[in-house]
Amino acid sequence: MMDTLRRALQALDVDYADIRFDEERKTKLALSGRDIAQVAAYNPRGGYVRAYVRGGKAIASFSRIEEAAIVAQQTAAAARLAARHTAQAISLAPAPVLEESFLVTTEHDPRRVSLAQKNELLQHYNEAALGHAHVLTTQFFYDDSFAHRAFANTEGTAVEYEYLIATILGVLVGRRGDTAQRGLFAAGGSGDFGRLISRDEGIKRAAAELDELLGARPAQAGRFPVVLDPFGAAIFIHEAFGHRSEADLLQHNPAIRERMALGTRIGSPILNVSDDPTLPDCAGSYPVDDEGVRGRRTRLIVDGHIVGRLHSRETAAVFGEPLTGNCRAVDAGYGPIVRMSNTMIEPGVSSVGEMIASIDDGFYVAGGGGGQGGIDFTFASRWARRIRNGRLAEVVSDANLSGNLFTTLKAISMIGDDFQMIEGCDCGKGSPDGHQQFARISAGAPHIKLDVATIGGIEC
Amino acid sequence: MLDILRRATRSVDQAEVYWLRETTMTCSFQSGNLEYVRHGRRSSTALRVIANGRMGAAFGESPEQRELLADATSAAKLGSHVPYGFASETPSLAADAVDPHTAVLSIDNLVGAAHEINQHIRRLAPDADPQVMCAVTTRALRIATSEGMDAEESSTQHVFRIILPFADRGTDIGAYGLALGTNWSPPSRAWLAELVEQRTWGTGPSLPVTGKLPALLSPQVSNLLLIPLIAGISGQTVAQATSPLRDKIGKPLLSSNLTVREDPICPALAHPRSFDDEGIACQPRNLIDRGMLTSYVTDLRSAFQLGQSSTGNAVRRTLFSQNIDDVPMPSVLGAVIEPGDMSYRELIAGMGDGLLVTFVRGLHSGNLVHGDFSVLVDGFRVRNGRIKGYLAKTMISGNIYDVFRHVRALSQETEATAQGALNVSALAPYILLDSVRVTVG
Repeated sequence: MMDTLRRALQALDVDYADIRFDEERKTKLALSGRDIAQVAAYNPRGGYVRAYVRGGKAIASFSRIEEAAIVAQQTAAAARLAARHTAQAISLAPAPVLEESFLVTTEHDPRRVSLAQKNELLQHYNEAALGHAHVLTTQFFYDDSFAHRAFANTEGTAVEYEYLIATILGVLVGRRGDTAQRGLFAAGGSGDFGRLISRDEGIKRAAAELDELLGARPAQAGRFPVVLDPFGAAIFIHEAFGHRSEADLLQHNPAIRERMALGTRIGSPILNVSDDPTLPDCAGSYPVDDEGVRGRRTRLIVDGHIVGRLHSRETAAVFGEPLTGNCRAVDAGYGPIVRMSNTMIEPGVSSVGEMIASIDDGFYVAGGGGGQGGIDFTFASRWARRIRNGRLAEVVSDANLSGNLFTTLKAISMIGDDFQMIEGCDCGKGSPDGHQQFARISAGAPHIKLDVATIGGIEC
Repeated sequence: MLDILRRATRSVDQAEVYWLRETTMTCSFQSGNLEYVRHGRRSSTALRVIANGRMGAAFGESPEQRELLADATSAAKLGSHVPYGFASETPSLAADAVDPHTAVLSIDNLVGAAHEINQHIRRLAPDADPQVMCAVTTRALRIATSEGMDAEESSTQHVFRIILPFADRGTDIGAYGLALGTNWSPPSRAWLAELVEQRTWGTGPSLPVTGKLPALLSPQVSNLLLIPLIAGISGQTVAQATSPLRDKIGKPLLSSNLTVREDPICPALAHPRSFDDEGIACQPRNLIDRGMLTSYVTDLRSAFQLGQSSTGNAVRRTLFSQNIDDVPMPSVLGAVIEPGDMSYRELIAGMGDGLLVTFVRGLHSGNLVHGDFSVLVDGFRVRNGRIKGYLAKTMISGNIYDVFRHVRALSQETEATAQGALNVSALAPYILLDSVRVTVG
């Protein structure tokens, strides 16, 4: 395949071009209650070309490897057309030429586990969930994916790299009177099938949370001190800051870009944040990005000050900052854009007990319900409790949290010493090709305390 | 008959092929500068088989992919028993949704149209910093089954998306305009002038007070109602008894000012459809008639569970699906909220103090089926019937079955909404809610 890609780039009249071809093999099992909703195998494949001519840029996607050469030529011609309308030339930061293969190896490879065994494991968790009297129905999903990607550019880079990931997600649904609620279970997020085994405690926890939510009143809306569990804190840093560390989202907003200049104090002095695709066995890990640039750890916030940003070759050139290897595409249908990998709040020194004890009237929020980033950001709790007089009190539902990039990070007053990475996480972001959903990312954090945050509960 | 079906009939009970081909051309201008041109071609195929009474599926890029049949047959060994079969009748196709002019547009044409829009906006507002995206899609969907159903439907669509950031750029929002349709028609000068005027509303942040306020939802925010409503009327959640709308047919559910129709062939919507993703004919009908729930929506599976026939509402791309990989689920192929008789400017002028909401964040995060929402909003503050700056740090929350019971009025103007990641096409007016809970950070 690499030879085909290299030949497609030969003799192109361009300043720069690259081409990628992806072949993927996926398995999906879906249960809906005791019904098997889907058993399926997937073999998607396709390619992507980018061409740059005199500052003009053209991109194209295609389905069959046989089309690579003709699509590359058409894309080069489109870039020449684009150059006629491009007053502000697009350039790329220089990147080292890389010729290497990065193939996945894992001890407990999901490709060597039969479909029947995967089904048996999923059925086991599903039955465990349905065994709880208050669980009305369930949805359980098993997904694994093995992707082989080949990338070449006109500078001589030629890399082949692979992804392998297996996850189980479970949604437990309960109903009491007019109230329906969900309990959530997630496991996996790496190429190690072993991480999916013996996770019954997670089902028990999801069932217990569902039971509590069914008896809970909706959260009271307002401004409160909040303790976030590691999952909540991880989603918080992803939505509150992570997306604004993606340079393409700052590129065209000069006022925000100025407010996020390197060296700016954006958070509390105890806050340190980094992004690291080189961590082993995390959903957002990879050796090389989809521009053929090696992934590396990037410190984003040190002692509350912005010290780094995540880049593609385009944005690194615009900002005059170092390459970070964060330009990634979800699959063959999409071009690469700047994405987080494994984004983390680094551990601090406090205990969760100290955090709760320091609050007279607030919330303990466990994350996992999803979120959305921006200058103002929001995310939903999976489960939450009131904190009263320094103690955990009643469970509440619908405790969605919102904040503002420039104020909420400064409200972090305590950071725990109990760091955890979360499992089975993905993220969506708009791109020239549409909305790229399900990018493999992860995030991690310890418990944190926010002195004040907005809870958009249902009740007045 | 497709070759894969011919081969399938020799080894399985029934088979169904779903084959989608899309070609998209896009260009994007940023600050008057052409950012990129894009050409995308995508072919996706889903094969479902019933073998020994059990369902299995396989996906690939083309029906010619040899492994599809073997994979689907292998998957069927573990699949569930399906007491129903695939579609057997070929539906009649609605009016042609292919615009011959759109079908032959070149990237030069798109760049020219987008460039002209840029120039016009710059003439109206020399300090504007417009983002103009123009895309044209040609789509062909063929569904064929071993039972004799075989239909192909093509459509064209153009989309213009224009964002005019507010002058102070203290936010990442701005005036937002979306124009889409089947027949090629770049936005009119009057439409652009309206957008340029809306940009001037964003002169700085203006925070409302925490409490209950009227809210005018723009057509692009109609998903706040439609996504939970569709989850509630889905035959799947009704059959599972998780829908709050179970046993609510014929009962008042929302304001009597609200009528929501399903109209899959409405030419104003993205890619009108004559048949659903299982090849069953789509039917225009009321979902909510003056506030009364009139119909659930089903696919083959949920229809069987409910003891009914499919309503032709199987959709493979539901919430957040980006490919065709998901199990067909009941959804709505095109929602139309009936307009009112006042202009949206009259609604603003008459609302006193409140919010004009133009975008919501985090809708997907809540308890959707139950109708609860707690979302961040973009938009404008309204004081004494006049726009006063843009919203910041503002959340609205409630339950759709409470707040949409009290709809004060709807605008006469309607707009088609972008499908986006939520994958619901709609044609909606502005909706003025009596009261919604507002929390300001």
